Amino acid sequence: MTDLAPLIVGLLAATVRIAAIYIIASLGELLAERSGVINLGTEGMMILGAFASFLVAYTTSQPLLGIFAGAIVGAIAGLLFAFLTIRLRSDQVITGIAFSLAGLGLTTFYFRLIFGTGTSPPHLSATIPIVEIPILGQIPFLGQILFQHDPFVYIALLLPVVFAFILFRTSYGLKIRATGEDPSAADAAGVNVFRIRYLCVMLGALMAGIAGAMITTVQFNMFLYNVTAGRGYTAVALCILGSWRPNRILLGALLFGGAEVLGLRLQAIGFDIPYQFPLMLPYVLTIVALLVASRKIAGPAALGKNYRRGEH
Amino acid sequence: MRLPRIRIKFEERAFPTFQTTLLTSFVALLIVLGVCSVFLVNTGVNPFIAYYLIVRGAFGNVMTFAETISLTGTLLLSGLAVTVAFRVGFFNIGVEGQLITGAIAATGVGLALGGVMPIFVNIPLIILASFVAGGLTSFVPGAFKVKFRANEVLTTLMLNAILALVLSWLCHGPWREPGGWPETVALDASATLPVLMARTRLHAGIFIAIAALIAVYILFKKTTLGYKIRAVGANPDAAYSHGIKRTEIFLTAAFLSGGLGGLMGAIEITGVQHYLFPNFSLGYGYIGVMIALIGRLNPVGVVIAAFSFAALINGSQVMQTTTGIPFELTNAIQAVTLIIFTSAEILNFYKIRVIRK
Amino acid sequence: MALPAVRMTGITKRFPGVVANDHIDFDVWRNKINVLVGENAAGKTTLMNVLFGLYKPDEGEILINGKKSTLRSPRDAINLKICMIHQHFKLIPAFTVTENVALVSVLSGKGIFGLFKDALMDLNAIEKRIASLSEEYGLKVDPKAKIEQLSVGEQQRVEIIKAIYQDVEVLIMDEPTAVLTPQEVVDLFRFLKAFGKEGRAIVFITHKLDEVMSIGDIVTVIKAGRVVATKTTTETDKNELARLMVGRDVIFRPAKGDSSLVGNILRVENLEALNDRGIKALKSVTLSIRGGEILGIAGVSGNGQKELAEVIMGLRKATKGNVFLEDDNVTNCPPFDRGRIKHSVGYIPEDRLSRGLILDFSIRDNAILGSDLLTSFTKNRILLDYKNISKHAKNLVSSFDVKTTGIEAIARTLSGGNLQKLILARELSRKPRLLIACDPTRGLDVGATEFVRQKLLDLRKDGVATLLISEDLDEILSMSDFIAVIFEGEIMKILSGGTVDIEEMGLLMAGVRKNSESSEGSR
Repeated sequence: MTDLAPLIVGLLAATVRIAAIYIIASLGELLAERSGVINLGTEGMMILGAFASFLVAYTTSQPLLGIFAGAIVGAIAGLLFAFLTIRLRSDQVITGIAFSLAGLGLTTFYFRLIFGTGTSPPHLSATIPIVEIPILGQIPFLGQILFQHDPFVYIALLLPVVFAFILFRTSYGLKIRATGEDPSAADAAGVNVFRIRYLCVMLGALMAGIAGAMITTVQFNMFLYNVTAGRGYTAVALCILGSWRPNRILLGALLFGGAEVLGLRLQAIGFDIPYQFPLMLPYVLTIVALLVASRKIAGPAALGKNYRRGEH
Repeated sequence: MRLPRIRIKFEERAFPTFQTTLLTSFVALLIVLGVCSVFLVNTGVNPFIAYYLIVRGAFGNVMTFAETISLTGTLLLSGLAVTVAFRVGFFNIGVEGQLITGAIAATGVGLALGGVMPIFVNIPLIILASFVAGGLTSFVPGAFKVKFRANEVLTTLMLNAILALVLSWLCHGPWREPGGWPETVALDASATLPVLMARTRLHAGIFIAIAALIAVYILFKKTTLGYKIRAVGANPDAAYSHGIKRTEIFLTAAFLSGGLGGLMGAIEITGVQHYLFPNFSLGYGYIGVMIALIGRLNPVGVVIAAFSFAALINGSQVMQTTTGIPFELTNAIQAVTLIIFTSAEILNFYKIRVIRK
Repeated sequence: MALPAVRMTGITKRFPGVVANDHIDFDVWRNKINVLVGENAAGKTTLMNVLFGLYKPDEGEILINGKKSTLRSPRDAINLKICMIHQHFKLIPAFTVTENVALVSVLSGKGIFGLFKDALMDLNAIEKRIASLSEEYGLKVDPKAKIEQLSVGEQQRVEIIKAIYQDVEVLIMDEPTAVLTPQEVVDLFRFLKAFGKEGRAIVFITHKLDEVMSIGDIVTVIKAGRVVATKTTTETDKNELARLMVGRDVIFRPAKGDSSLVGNILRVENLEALNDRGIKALKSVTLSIRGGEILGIAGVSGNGQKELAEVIMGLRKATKGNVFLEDDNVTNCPPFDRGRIKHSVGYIPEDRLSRGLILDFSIRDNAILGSDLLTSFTKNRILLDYKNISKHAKNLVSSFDVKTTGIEAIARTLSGGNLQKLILARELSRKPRLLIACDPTRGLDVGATEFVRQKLLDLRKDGVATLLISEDLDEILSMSDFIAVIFEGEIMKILSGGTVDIEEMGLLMAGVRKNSESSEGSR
């Protein structure tokens, strides 16, 4: 029985660590979606961020610069996506899919080009260090789960409250939500719909880039082909699952983080199931979650529709 | 003397014409070649040499040409599958998974009947089984969308990952060949598609692909079903208000789409590989999405795009062996092509006016 | 002479294929109600959208209080105290009244450490101010209510309060009376006259000449994007304005002519249904229409008319009651089921752009939109017979004078009037026995309106039963054989078309029954 405790604590700590990545990516997507733009290119922006951060962290041995690089790359990709969907009004879903496919292709090529096909994949010498919070970190069990992480995890855990406040208690949030509900009405009320959508999409993409960077500099210390493995899409699903509310997204992220960790650990524990089945857990969970959550009509009313002055 | 100042104005036009589509595609192609040259300069190779090598690798001699045709057939089926789905408004990104179930079904039938029944019984059964298997794989996310409003981009993607793991399990487990490798035994000759040209991999599957192309073309151009599919995709409310059973049409199109994807998996296994193993698809399902978008959901455009991509992939493989440039260059080129072509779509709605001042 | 509050000179605005405003000069004077009158699609709304900052003019200049101004967005207009209330209200349904007002307002609060002063909202203060303004101007609104729960009349009051909250000086109202009962129109006019006297300038857009004469001080007539005349209402009259608007004498009441009456074609009994928000939209509706007859449904929009048409067509579930087509019960059968096809029902939907046509399809493809039409133009039910389809499409276009470059043109390129004519042509090509027409002439210019109305009247000769639902009271009055007044889902009374007391009708539309009469007509 005593053997179980450290196992569970380790599991939960890993859950929190992975959930942080989902939280950041998903809150970024939340911002974009609340302003009315669905960004299915999040996966592509995450992997671009992951690669950029790996590249920079590898060459400079500064993982923090890697996170920075991931953010910048994400923002640039977000700017392009915003331009295509907001200014040129191309279909958001199709453009998003294109970005995700493109992100995978580009990173695959450049990774192979720069790092070759050696048998041992390149590693980062240093990852983002863990910063233990004094006093709180010493609490038995809880300390390891919540207070012995790197700074970005702490930021991720606090972000939902900040986002909730901004979204529901400030005029910025009111304008963002108005843009997502009815851009025509928001425009006539003097809200700069285009600027808000640009900012929300870019910020969302920036956060996706950071989330991707966290995969290479926090969770692992290397880059692989398709290292994001669909997490970007899960981040989009989390918005739906969380009814577009930051606090519920936090819960969803913990759930999915747990599923991912469980999948890996179950395989290691060696239950008598073929290893493929525990690995399916996050994907099956995503589908089930979508089935349950999508029936409610809770999203921003204008989500996915491009706006043009003079039309309704 | 003052030179006349020329101002170029972008003016909106009400709807695209055939000429605008051609022009924008051409412009997009030029931009793609330009951007890809940048990549190539990155690798230290003269872009023109690289393009030449790719073209030569794709068509240089009869054997490589046959290889390109063979791959075109596979990619064509993928592109058609996506086209049918997107036309009805079903964003099917799950072709990668549908081809897996099709391949599994094909292998199952092939293993069971290979050597037992003659080839002209086996092949039709394999085609039927893989079509149905792929169709069901697409039908389920379609039903989820109809019944639960679940976003099909996400559900089909998740399904892809799940099915890839199922395939892995099958090959490591129940269907593993005695002898150790995680793959199945080779299919009996009576369960494989005959090779059309000696010493090449060009197989009879190309006929299946061509048949599918003709079928899809006729479907959308001439049939009531095709009309209904287009109507549901363009405006489901109007379609429903006018008696078109939108749910039935939606699910039918989803099924057909998946069926084509399943066919693709079947011809890969029975035509090219002749046995089943994990990761036999090099992302063909996703390439199908790219091809469908670049071809603007039009069977003619899709076949051109499929051929181009097949040439690109094959040519790059050959180029890698001679120059050492990584094959993954194709991934970058595909990515750029996709982004630029989907962005260029918007140019269809503008016309250029040159105003002299 | 004092400066006008707004002076627009040489305003030109082009869209693909049409010049909406062609070098228009327009002044807005304080203490006056400035009326912009013209047919539908004459360019009035476009001109005001330019003033409100939603459109950038291709040419021209705008002076606000004598100062040249560039209005790049509604925010610029609002800052200059110009507010516009559109025909379709720009309110966010999921937000409360207070939140909608907060959205427009430039807030300044305490902020955090002096930064982000306009970030934190004091919704309570806004709520209080709304309540006091509501009291002061006699515009009753509940600040805490969500827009989606309010009636259309209440929503209009919210829009007005929103403008007052911004200290509006130039108030633009675009066709505000379409959604009001006659009494509410009187109230609105009373408010506007008083409001306008306090140094403000009011712009009133309408296409109804009675309103122009009743409320206007200065009237500007716009025709096909150009200003035709500017006069004061004292120096002109309805007939002159009509002539200026259209360029010829206008027939105000079309000749009805004979009809050939047949037995009941449509019969609706005790029909009940819910609207999109789950509230009862129809409460025990009973009515019937004979062949050769036009039954008009009079009522302010949002009182159940849309739902009634949808239930009859099978697009909405009836929770109680029955729909009969002659002897066949078609209640809750899907659209274009056997019953409706047998009796050949035609439908001109209210939201014609989204439901009546597929905008991305060609005219030829739209001509066969309908499962019955599709089957009739096939050989062996699978392959479409495009030769005959093209003939059919060309027929529709020529017989209804739809202006287009050809049947291959995409529907999106057609103007609103031509789209409506195309829909009507297609529906009538079915040779229907029952036609359900919702707002058939909304947004159409006078020529197209006359055409459509004449076609509908002609149906009476062919023994067709027509259900006419319209916001335009004049249309209902001039075309109906019988008029059913609907209020909050109930048929208040069925009046005979020949002798109608407008005042009684207005009261019925507002829900007032004179004495305890049954809600079924005397038929």
